[in-house]
Formats: sequence, structure tokens, C-alpha cells
Amino acid sequence: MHSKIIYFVLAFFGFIYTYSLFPVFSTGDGGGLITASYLLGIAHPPGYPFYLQISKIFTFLPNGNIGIRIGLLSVFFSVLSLFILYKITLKLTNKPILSITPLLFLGVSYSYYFNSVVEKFYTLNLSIILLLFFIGMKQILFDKLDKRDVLFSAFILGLATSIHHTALFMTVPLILVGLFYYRDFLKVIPHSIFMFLLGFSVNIYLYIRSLKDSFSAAHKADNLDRFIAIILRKFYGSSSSLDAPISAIATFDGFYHSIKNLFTLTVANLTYGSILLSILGLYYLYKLNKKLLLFFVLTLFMYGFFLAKITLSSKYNLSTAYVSANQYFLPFLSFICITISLGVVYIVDLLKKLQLITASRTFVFSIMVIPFTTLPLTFISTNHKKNWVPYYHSKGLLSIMPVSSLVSTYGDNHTFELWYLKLVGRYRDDVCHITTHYYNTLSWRVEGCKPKQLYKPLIPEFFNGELVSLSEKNKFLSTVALSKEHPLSAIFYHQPYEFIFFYKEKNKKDQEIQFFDKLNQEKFKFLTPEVCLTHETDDPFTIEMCNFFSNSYLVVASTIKPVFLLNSQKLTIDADISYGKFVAPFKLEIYINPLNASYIEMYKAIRAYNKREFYLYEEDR
Amino acid sequence: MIDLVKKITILLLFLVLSLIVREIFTQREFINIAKNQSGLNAVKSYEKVILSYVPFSPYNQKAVEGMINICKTLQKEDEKLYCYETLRSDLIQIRSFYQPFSNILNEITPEIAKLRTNQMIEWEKNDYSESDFERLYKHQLNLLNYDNAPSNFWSFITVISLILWIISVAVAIYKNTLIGTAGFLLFFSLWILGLFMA
Repeated sequence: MHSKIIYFVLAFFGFIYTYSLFPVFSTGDGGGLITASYLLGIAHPPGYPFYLQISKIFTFLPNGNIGIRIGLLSVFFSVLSLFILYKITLKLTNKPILSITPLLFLGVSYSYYFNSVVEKFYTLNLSIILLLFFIGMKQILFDKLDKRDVLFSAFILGLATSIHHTALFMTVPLILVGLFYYRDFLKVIPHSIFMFLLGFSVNIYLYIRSLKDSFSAAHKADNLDRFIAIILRKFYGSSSSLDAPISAIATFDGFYHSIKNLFTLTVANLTYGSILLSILGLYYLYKLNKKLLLFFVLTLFMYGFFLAKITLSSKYNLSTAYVSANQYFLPFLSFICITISLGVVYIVDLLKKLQLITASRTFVFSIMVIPFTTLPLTFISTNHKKNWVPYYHSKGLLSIMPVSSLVSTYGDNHTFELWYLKLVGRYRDDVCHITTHYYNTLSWRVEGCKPKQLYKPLIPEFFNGELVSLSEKNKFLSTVALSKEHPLSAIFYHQPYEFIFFYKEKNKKDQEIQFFDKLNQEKFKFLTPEVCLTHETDDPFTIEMCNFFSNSYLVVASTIKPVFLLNSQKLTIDADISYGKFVAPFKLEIYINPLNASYIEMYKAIRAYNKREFYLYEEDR
Repeated sequence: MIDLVKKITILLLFLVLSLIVREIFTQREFINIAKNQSGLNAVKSYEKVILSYVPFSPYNQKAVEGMINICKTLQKEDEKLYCYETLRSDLIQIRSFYQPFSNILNEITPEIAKLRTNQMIEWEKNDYSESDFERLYKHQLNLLNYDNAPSNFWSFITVISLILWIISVAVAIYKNTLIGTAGFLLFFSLWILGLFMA
């Protein structure tokens, strides 16, 4: 009976994660990954071919929409990871009930929950890492190197190059295991290299799909140089897969921040108590098997301190907390959860030795209950069932576009969501969508405007390079406000239109004010900013989208002018919109009057509702 | 191995069932909301019902019919376009091996092309006139009929072959080198072929 409880626990997590999925697609990379998967294309570097192909199977499910089906993949691997975690702990303790402890702690932790309900590859990556750990651990427990396991691990590591490169960190602890049994290990190395290459061959996908001119988020891999560039993520410059770890180990700079930030994120996810239990757990491992302790500590080091040195070595801020801390450290948290359960086993054994049976049972019960006390809070902030923000944000953007016009975007949130809705959902596919990866360049990616032969007859100005002509026809729009560093700012200024901008020629400023005022009022009905008052989450990207969305209320309010300007209160908006280091002005003049007062109130309501602190970056932490 | 496949299948079925439960409740919630709405607000509620598609659910038909009725009654062309575009996109987003309500899609596509063309001609700064209608209509229709998704058949072959060649490698390592190697060669070749064909 005890061994069956695990299935109830897994079912419980499977159900609540499924319940908490975004209705269509998640913020950030979500839309881009779904698009690449659905079109069997290439996602942002390293392209994630294995993830894309596995998620493609899920698009064939008969229920829901294409977005949420791929979301189910995250849930699937999340539950699978919990199961492997159980198997690891069971192997170490041989105690079925206590082996559920790490699942409970990890399953309700903020970061794990969050990554289980977004369209991303982190739970798949975790399953791979835990599987490799399990194989490594098995060798030590049996005190014998199984050649087959070595070959299989090498194959899985090769495969891991097509998911997320952090899985490759497992190479180091696995080599350590090999060194424990070096005679057998040396013999199997040449064969292992072959198996690694066999696993790596999944990346052939990138080359073939590039030849097929399928969708690619950043660049194609149609020759050796570009293939290597995409695999090594050279696109990201100093953050590429080779440069980042090399620069991390080359210097001690940021060492303090790495440790501090790692501690912060561990405590935020697993509470202070977990640290104490973890230390006891490591002591338990020391007693159990010293080789195993070494393997475990090295794994913790790779996924903890080493990864933190690469990704968390700057001062803790919202960006680090959201992008790095929240996503990359699932393996670290998982291993910490194993040590927690070992700590629990140690205490239970101690209490039993002292013949304190009731105390030991009470202790186990209390430990099992603790995670459930944090579950309501995690559930509230990471339950995205009502989070229609990314969907309606992108839909609103396309809905207000003139037919067969041009829209340019910059940044993940605007770009990926449009890709999903336009390329997967085919909503308003008459709009030609182009995007740049860097704010101050004009090297457009035209994935949202392909094939050329279909778009050219409808928007010939763009293909003939006549952007000014497009602007004259009021058909050149963008999500990007122009700072003086933007190359187009020499010719154009940005005219606010709901929550995006028309690009207009500078020398014709203020000529069409009435036209824009009318258009802003007429098209506002197609927006759904009210979803920003019901999403209930603390997701920073959702909040960022809502802040953009709320601007539409101000823009419309600015177009509704009273008959007598003198009698009304004037509100001057002189704000900035930041794009990394670039800052663009956002200026409006609003004459407050009974006709536009409700818009201003809605703006205030959305801003107030979205003044939420991200769980991993609360100021008091 | 069979035990593992069994467990994975059960997990997958359980998750799909969980999703169906969630979707049914969502459909019921928004179909009821839509009853008390009209115009674009009702369109947005029906949209949520369709996006939460559950095969054989009676709410699917109700939402599609409800949305079509609204699309037909809307007077302004831009609202009509919004309505039809929403319906088209929602239906495309729920496609799987098959396209639910494909007849509706075929019905509304020319209507969307017509509305888009009218909007292009009416756009103040465009230098198009009624004489451009046929030409623009044809281009819009071409765009609407263009299918950018890879072939369902070859996509399925590709991903299944991938899984099978990975399993074959595991079989070759742990169980039977000959069967595993043969399986690998077969499925790897099929995978490569699928990538080219899809």
C-alpha cells in the first residue's frame, strides 16, 4: 500500500499543474517555442531540436488548443521528474513513505511550480539530469561500473546538447564516478564518445530544417559555421555556451553575489528549515557511502555554485531573479530536496534508536504537512488559468492594425506572442510582421512576412524598401518607441496609437492629429486590457505587458478633448520607455473631462492591480 | 521496458483527462457568460469556449454557431472582420490530425478576404479604388488559403521515428545489439526522410 501512495502524489501534482496552465501560451519564450515546434522550425539558439520534436507530438492531442497542448508537455516532464526524484530517494533510503518528502518540497516550491506550467523545456531538462544522476548513483551503490550504463549516459549527454546545455554539467560528476572505477572506465571511453555523437546527431534536425527554409527564431543552421554558431549559442555573445563558463571560472568577481543569491533563492523556494535538514542529509550520506557523498557534492557544486557563478554573479535584481534564478536552478533545488529527505531519515532513525516512536511519527507527519502550508500561496501566484494577458495582448495588437500593414517588434514578449498568433493561429495574417534582436539595428527578421510571393502584392512598399511611402500611407507601425539612438529616429517620430506607435515622418509632425485621435477612439473596442485585472499572478512579464496595455487608456483619454480646454485640468505625461540602455520618450497631454475620466480610472486600476512583487524578488528578502 | 511504457501511457492519459476536465469547466463558464452578452464581448467569450475545445462537447457547436450569428449581425466592417478573423483563428488553433469545423472555415474564408479587401480600399491613405478589388481579393484569398504548417503525416512519422530510434539505441545497449541496431538504422533513416518531407 505504502508504495502506491507515490502515484496519488504524482496524480495530485499532475492535476494541479494542468489546472494552472496558461489558457493558450505563456509569456516570454512560450509563444516562440510553440511556433517553432508547430512549424517544425528552429527556436532561439541552441534551437532545442529534441524539445521541439517531442512537443510536436503533443500538438496532435485532440483537445484544447495548440498552445496549451504543448503546455501539457511541461506538466508531463514535471511529473516524470518527480517520479525519478522518488526513485533516487527510494534507492538511497529504501523507505517508500519518506521518499515522498522531496517530491512534496519540490512540487510546491515556487520555481518548480512556475516552470511546470509554462511552455518551456526546463522540466524536460530536469528529467534528463535526474536520469543521469540516477545512473551515476547506481554505479556507486552497486560498487561496480556497468559498461552499458556508461554508454547510455554518454548517449543521453549527446541528446542533452539538443535541449538545454546545463544538462552537460552532469558530465563532471559522471566522470568522477568513472574515475572511481577507472580500469573499466578507460576501456569504455572510445565507445562512449561514439554514443555521445550518436545522441548529438539529433541536432541534424537543425541543418535539415534550415535547408527546408522552415521557421527560425534567430538564424538558420544551413552551413557548418552557422550550425556551430547555433549549437554554441554564439548569438548571445559573451553569454554563449563556451564563453559564459570560461569567463565564470576565470575570475573571482561576483563570487560573493553568486553564493548570496543562491542562498536567497534556496530559502525563498524551500524555507530556512531546508538548509538545516540538508546539512543533516549530507551527514547521512557521509555515513552511508563516502563515494556517494563526493558524487552528490560535486553534482550540487555544478548545479549550485558553478551555475550561480555563471548566471547569478551580479547584484540580485528582478531580471536575475526571474530569468536566471527562477529557471536554471531546478536541478539544484531537486538535489537539495533529496538531502532534505535524507536529513529527515537521519532524524527519524535517531528518534527510533532512542525508542521515541510517537515522536518519530509526529515528526514525519509534520514534515509531510509543511509543504502544504506553502501550497496556497504558490498556487495563487503561479496559477495561470485566468491569465489571458499574453493572448489578448498580442491579439489586441494585431486587431488594431490596418489591413496589410507593417508592424515591427523588438523583445521576446512582443515578438514571440505575435509569432504564435500570426503563424500558428493565423490571426490577421495579412499583417507583415518584422522583428529585430537589437534595439538599435535594422536587421529585420521577416518570419512573420513569409512567403514573399504572397505578401509582396499586398504590401509592395516594404519589399521595395519604401518605408517612407508606407509611413505616408499610415501603414508602418511598431511596438517600439524611438529613442534618439534608434536608426529610424533620423526620419521618423512615433505617434502613440493605443499601446503601440505609428512611425511618421518628422517633417510632417502634427499634420494628422484628428485622424489619429479618431482612429484611437474607434479601434479601442478591439482591445481587451481588462484581462489585466483578473490574471491573479505575479509573473513579471505578464505585469510588463499589462503596463503596456494600460497605456492605451491614457492614449485614448488624450484624444478625448473637452470643447473648452481652458476649463479642464491638464495632465501632462512626460515619461520614458526603457529598452535596455536606450530610453525613448513617451509624452501625452490629457485634458481631464467627464468623457475621458473613466479611461484614466481604468489606467489607474490596472497599474494598481499590477503593482505586484515577484515572489522570488520581494524587497524584504 | 513494457512496464515503463505502460506507466508513461497512463500518465499521459491522466494528464489529457485532467485537461479535459479543466476545459469542460471553462467551456461551461464562458458559454454562460456569453448568453448575457452581445457584440464583441460575446465574441470574446465564445472565443474562450472554442479555444477550450473538447471533442464531442456540445459547447463547441454552440459557441461556433453563436459566433457566426454575431458576425452576421455586426454592422461595421471592421467589427465583422474582427469577428470572422477570430473565428478562423480559433478554429485553426484547435486543429489536430483533423480540422474541426472545416466546413465553417471554408465558408468564412472568402468572407474574410472580401472584408480585408474592402478595408484596404477604404483605408484613407491607400491609393486603391474599386477597380483593384478583384486583384486584391485574389491576393488576400491566396494568403488565407496558404497552409504554412508542415505535413501532418510526415511530422508524425518524424517525431515517432525519433522516439523509436532513441529506444532502439537503448535496446541495442541493454538488450539485443542486433535488433537494436536494425531498429536504429530503420528509424533513423525514416526520421531523416521525415525531416525532409514534412
